[in-house]
Amino acid sequence: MVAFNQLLTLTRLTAVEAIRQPIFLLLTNACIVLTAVMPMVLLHQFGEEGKLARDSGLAFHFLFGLFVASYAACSSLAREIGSGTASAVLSKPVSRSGFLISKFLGLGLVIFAFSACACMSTLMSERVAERLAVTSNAGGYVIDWQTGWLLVCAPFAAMGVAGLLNYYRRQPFVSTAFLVLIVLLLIVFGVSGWFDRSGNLSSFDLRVQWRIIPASILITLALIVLCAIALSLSARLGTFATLVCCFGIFVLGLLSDYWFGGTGERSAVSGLLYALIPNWQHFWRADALAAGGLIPWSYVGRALVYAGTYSAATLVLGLLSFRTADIR
Amino acid sequence: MIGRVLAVATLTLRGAVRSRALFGLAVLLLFLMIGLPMTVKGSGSPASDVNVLLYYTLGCAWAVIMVATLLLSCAGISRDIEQEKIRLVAVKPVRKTEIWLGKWFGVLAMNAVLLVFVGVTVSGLLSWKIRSWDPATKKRLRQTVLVANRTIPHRPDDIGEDLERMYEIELDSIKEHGRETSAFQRKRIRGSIRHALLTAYSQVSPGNGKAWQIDIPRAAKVGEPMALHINFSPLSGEIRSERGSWSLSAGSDSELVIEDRIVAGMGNRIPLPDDFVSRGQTLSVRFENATGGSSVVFDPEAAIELRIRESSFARNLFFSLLVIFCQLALLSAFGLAAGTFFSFPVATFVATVLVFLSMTGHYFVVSEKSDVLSPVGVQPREQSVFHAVGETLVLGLERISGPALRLNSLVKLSNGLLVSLGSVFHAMLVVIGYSAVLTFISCIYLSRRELAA
Amino acid sequence: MTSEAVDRDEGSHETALMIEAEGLVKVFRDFWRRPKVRAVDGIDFNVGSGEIVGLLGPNGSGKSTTIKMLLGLLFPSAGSIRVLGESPQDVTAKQRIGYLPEISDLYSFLTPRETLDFYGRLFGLKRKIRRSRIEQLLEMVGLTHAADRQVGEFSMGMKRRVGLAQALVNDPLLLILDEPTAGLDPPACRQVKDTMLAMVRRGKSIVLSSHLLADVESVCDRLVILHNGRIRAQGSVKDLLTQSDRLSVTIPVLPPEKMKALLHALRDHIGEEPQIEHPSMDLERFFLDVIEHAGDSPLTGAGHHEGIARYLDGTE
Repeated sequence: MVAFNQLLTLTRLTAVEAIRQPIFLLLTNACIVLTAVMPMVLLHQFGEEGKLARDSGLAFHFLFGLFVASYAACSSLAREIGSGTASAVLSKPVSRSGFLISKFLGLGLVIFAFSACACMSTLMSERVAERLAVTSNAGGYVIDWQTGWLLVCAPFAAMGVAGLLNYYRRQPFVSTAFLVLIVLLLIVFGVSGWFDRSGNLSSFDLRVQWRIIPASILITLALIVLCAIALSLSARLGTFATLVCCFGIFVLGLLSDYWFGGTGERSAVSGLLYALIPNWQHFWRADALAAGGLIPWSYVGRALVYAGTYSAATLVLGLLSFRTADIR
Repeated sequence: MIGRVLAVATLTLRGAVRSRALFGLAVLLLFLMIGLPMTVKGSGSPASDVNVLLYYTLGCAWAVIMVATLLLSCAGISRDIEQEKIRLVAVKPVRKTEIWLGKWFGVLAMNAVLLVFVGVTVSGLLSWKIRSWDPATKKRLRQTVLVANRTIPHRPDDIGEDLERMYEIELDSIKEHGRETSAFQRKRIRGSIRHALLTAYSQVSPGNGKAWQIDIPRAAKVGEPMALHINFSPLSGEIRSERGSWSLSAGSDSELVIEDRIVAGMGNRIPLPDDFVSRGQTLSVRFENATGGSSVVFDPEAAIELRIRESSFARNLFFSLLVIFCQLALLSAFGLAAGTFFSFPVATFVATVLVFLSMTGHYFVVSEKSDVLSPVGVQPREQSVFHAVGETLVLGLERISGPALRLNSLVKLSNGLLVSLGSVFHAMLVVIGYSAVLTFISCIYLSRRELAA
Repeated sequence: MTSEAVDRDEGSHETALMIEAEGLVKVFRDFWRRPKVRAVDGIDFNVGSGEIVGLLGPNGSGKSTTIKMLLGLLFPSAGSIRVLGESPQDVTAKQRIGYLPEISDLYSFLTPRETLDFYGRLFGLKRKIRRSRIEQLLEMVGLTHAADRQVGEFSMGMKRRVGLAQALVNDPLLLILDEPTAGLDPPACRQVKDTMLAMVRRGKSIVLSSHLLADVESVCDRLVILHNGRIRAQGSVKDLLTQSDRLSVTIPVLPPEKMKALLHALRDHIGEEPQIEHPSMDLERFFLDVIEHAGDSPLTGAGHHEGIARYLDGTE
């Protein structure tokens, strides 16, 4: 029970520390704003049914998520070791394993929260994208400007509210802004259900493509895997070295199928490298959604098993390394 | 002053070396430069192998060094401020400018070391590859890729009169339907017509011909190996050969007629005698499409170009790396400036976003000119507010930083084109100019900033 | 006050002011520019040449903030400061200042030799002078044996020594020390004091901030006591600490009868019971005596030091 409470306490601390970093808010806001602006800037005239908006949203989720995951993991552990707070914590009856696992769980929470924001933005962005609307009187392409504007303004409104709370109640700006952002996104999500594409009141219908959610979950799993890798590396390496290694692993994983042969014939070395290096292509399945396609939940389940196994294996290696690391 | 700047520069370089950042980067670069050519295959020909080595491998190396430079330079001052190490430096008789310049030179020194490493490795890999090729292949490569060729383009097609005429017709047609056009829409219409005309002028149907003129500048090196490069495709889009004849003349003494099948696609080449043209002359080129074939379309902007050997590949590689060094110098100045204002992660974010926008803003300009989404005869849609604001911001940023960040020498190097001394000087001037501005702004802010909480 | 400070006090000193601070105020503000903390609230003090001024006060009294304003690291919200006749922002004034912060923020990847070399170069010292001083300083702070190990591997005390050495590399005219003896063993503490005294004998000035009152008392000429950002007491150590209405007399131990007669006479004259006890030496003196007489082998290992650097005590 004591160990469980310790785990919870440290997990919470890690999450709070991560969301209080200004860079986290910057990355989240940038992801949401870019996702929201995309359908309003791209002038497609051929009825692509929001594919560009959807793919852009998922791509931004992945890209910004990578930075969130790798930087948060690098700086969380490396900074604690460097500043001496790790030694202050580990001098208490806290095991190193528990410390590392709680770091992973805390960062996982943060990644989940970020992904939730990115997913909501992608869903709404896809809804905003123009559709061919035909009535008995006229036909044309209609963009849901109202939802789009609400989505674009949400991050700025969140910062405004956080500014007010910081001014009057001295609450920390960054973490407050992030929490308010989540609330505002949920509100925008809900409110948009009461309006149609032209901004007129109608019966409640969110009009979003729920099939985007499995794609978003897959990306979240990829971010969790990268977080585990970054955390394990930062047990020994400094921030910069970990970031460079994560960058290298990301590039290798992205081109894994091409370089190490994928499912085709390959040498023993290539096979080993293919197995060891995480294949990010497994988690990028946006193309499957084209022309009304679906990502089956069974695939998501298998990806979950892959991500879970890979993260666990990486963390075990990180734990073994961390156990014998000097903490000054 | 120099002593203090050098002291800070040495400190920065030492930090990079002892944090094993430099070593880690070198290992990553080595892995990339050896691994990438082994796995990324071109068309299998020696020329494409060399192209892969030069363009993709050097390009990846450049990208890695660029990311590392941004990270290190953003951390240069921001981490010292966050960790309060700058206190002990700031209380010494050293100016903020000296600290800033010292950090910058330290990062430049690291870049120089890495680029030398990259250059030596690429040269070594090339030498190793070349050894296995036969003499004829080596000779061909030394004329096409492993060389520094000066490119002389043809005179552009004169479409001015036709453009104005069709533009007036289009506007009158829109007015007749009772509609008005905004400045944005008129710009788009003009662009559409220009694009359509260039495309029409570039097409040569069977039984017809097209002529170009190439003006040889007085500074050109004559008496060196030269070739005419042609870029054309069949109208149907399939890659196959087309029969036609090429007539070239330069003055009364030089004439050449070639009748042959030339494979459609980019990169056709007609070698010319070394003394075919003289300085100040005009080379006339005429293509006759054989009857019974199909229409071909030439590249509207670069249908043909004369390439004359100007210098060696080694010199070209050196100058190319110098241009890359200048680019990295500017990036590091950017990163240091961001690190002066913001904390490390925020500085990295801001610098990355600005650099990304600056580098990709150019494509907004390109898409603006091509405007393939608005066919002639269709009034373009009015520009949305988002589009207008975004375009203004991005193009504005591109105009400011584009001249610096568009110094891309790798394309030229991998295609055997000359990276001139002029382009190196231009790159240096851009770096000095922009870096001076960034240094000035950053040092003013740094001197007004409290360095101890 | 110790004999050391007494000796200096009786000598003549130049009257040039090293530091002139008038009406100093420092208010820290939040993001909205609202005042958050009034760390320094209108203080006036001067530091002359050839004197050691102690800056005392409880935690949060404004000592470190004052020091940082003197060094130009913070900007005063109000008031004026002149350091060596110049503004603290002036680069030329910093040529003759040495500073040891409370926490030594050294570059962890440098060795002590490289650290001193780096700071020496910032002072524009010629290579020959730099090298000579570096060796003397390393010897003085007892780090010759660790001169080529990275500072990141050092204990806090060793880092402190490096910090002290870098503060002295330029033979400063004005030395500002924030908790100079924190983390140092008693022999090293003694050496720091000896260094300070040697420098002051050559006309240098020192501003010393410390919580270790015994250290401050033993070396300082004047004290400035801060609390809540204001000066609560200021003056020479002698003036502040002397109880002018009391006397203490030190005599050798007497036989019981003489002692009794003496006590009786005193009681008759002063009308109260006199206080009689054996005088005691301070713990530092005792500790050092014990160490010196400990054995025939000299002190070795970390912390062994050879006295003050020659260029600091004027013998070079």
